[in-house]
Amino acid sequence: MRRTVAFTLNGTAVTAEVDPTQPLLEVLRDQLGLLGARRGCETAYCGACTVLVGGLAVRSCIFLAGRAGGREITTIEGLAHDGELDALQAAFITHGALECGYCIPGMILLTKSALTTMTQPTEADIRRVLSSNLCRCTGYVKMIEAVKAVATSTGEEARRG
Amino acid sequence: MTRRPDYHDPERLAEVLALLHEHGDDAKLVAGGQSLMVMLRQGLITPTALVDLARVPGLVGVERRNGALRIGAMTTIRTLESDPTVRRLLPTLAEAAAAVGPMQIRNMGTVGGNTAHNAVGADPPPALLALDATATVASADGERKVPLDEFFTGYFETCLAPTEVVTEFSIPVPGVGTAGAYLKFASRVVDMSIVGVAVVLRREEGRVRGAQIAIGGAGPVPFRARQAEASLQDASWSETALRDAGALAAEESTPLGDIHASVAYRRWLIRVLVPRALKAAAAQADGVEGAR
Repeated sequence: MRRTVAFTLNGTAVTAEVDPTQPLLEVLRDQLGLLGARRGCETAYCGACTVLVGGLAVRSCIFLAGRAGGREITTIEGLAHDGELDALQAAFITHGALECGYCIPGMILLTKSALTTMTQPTEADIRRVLSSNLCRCTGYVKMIEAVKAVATSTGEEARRG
Repeated sequence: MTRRPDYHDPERLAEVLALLHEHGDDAKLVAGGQSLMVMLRQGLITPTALVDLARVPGLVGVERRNGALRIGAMTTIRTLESDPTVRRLLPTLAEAAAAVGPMQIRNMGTVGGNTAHNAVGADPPPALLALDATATVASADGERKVPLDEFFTGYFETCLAPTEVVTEFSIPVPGVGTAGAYLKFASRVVDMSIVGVAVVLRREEGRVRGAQIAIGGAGPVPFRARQAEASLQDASWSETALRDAGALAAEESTPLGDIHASVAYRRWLIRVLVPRALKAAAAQADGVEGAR
């Protein structure tokens, strides 16, 4: 029972013929060739497959492909603009916030989604956000520093208005 | 892999009900899909049809009507956590929503799906139970109202027939001076609760005028700690009264023992968390009073 879904992927209109009950993750990786969303636990536990749907972080391993129609989907491949990295990507690099790197696309998109609704998050807030995803290398401390740096500078920009 | 189920995403509730009537137990409803998709992928369930509620209008939102807050079943956990009306009038529910583990699950998961799934250790169900919520349940035969204390019937089981769907919850707006809190204990913050305690508390002149206490995670279904509630009625607000209430709640519980916690440990958590949740509610009420 396949159907064609049309949606916006990283700013570009795409269509895909999918089984609507298959996970969006499979569509992104196996059909559309975007490997940034990672296949991790595949049971909604680790968050490595996190993508943004309408700006909100979701786990693409349990997001029905049939629900993608008409939505705006962003993967890690769509975060940089005109060759310039997103502030979070840049901060993760500056702070060395990665070890093996497998969880990082999910971590960045998770944080991207969280920072849209949080103004001046505390370290506790940031830890709570990052707790949503697993890093098997346990490299959380540098990530917390990176997110804090971005949250602080974003806050300052907002205050300067 | 087994055959994938057929997928239906109707735009009218009547179509949903007709599909459920047609397929019975072979159909599964998709609300947020956050538990269902996992069970599907693990082969724990093998429905022949999925009926997605995403496009059915009227199932999302929070609305105040006739002294009650009406919450659509497809309202997300994220909305309950952040909606100003829910936070102000039903802090117990807002805190329970915020306690749901990972952010992605709160973004997609729904109050109806979470409640109808009745997973042990889910956070919103005890909050709804403490708040005396009533579920509206629809089927092709019509509509019925189910008080939450009749909703949960067993381990991952509810009163819902395969042909029925929860459309909304109605929660009486607590009177002025009522406070609430939700406290959960889990090994890690993203895990299901080993014990979750939801309280609604009204005090007057140093006395308890009403305490509603519901506990999740401890047994196959969330339950109201009625003996603890009764012990607090008109009691003076004291450490002793709170401690006694915790002990009674622990005593009247029927916890499960599993790999996460033993029966004795869950009882101990109840004993500790009930007074702590009541104090949290009281502190919040005092804070609000102080701010006025």
